[in-house]
Amino acid sequence: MGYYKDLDLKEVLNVAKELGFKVDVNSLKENLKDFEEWFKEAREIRRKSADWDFINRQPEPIRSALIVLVETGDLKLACKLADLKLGDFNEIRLKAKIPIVL
Amino acid sequence: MRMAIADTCFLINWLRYRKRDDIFNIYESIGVPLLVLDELGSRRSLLVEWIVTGRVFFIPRISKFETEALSIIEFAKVRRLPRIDPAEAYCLSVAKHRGYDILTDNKAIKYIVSEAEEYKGVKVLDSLDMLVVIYGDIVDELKRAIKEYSEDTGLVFSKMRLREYGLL
Repeated sequence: MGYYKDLDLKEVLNVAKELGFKVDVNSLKENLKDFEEWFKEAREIRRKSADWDFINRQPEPIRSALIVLVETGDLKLACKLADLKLGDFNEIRLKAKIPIVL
Repeated sequence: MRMAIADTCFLINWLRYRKRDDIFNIYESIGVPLLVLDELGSRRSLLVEWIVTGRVFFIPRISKFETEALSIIEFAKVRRLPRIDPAEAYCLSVAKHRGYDILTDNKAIKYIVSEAEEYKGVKVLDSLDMLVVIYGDIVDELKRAIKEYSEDTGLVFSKMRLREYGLL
């Protein structure tokens, strides 16, 4: 997953300035470390908890959306792939035993 | 008492929690943007009890907040943060201008508030923060609440987050 890889700090600062935001670079760097550690732990929890039999029995595009959710944790992207509202897709997520990890 | 604004990812979890009404020990009422209501899909029915008892108020679409929300989304993209949808960005904009706390389970919002000077004053709470605020005075009660919350919502708290509160 490329949330943190290849982050171009100069580009971030330029776009932030263009948008009228002033960035606290120290906080940004701390958050990058925090996110990297959290992302790995969260993905491992999702992979272990998921009911893969249930997931593999689902019709497309639900099956693909659930796999994307396990691998990325991106609930909104999964919803878009499934073409469902967040509240409705969440019910399928619960049946698939894919935890949201905070 | 304070006011809060809640986004979809917080509400889809919190509304399943058996003790969901305890949130009103902390907040007088909770704002829900109409954009969030739409995202709840058929699960918006869970909000009915709060609506009829006047504990939820709806926030219409206001161009000023929508414009700012687009900037937040663009920043999140270039910053490679977890995806922020328009409703979540809208919540952050409203929270900043009206002084509400923002209730969200999207980590990206916390990151933006800690990184962008313009949002540093906004108080962001996720489900774990909320449980700590409500039950944190008694550790055993908090631990029981966390267990029940996970059972009801299928949400798991990472070791990282639990360590932050000395719960590991």
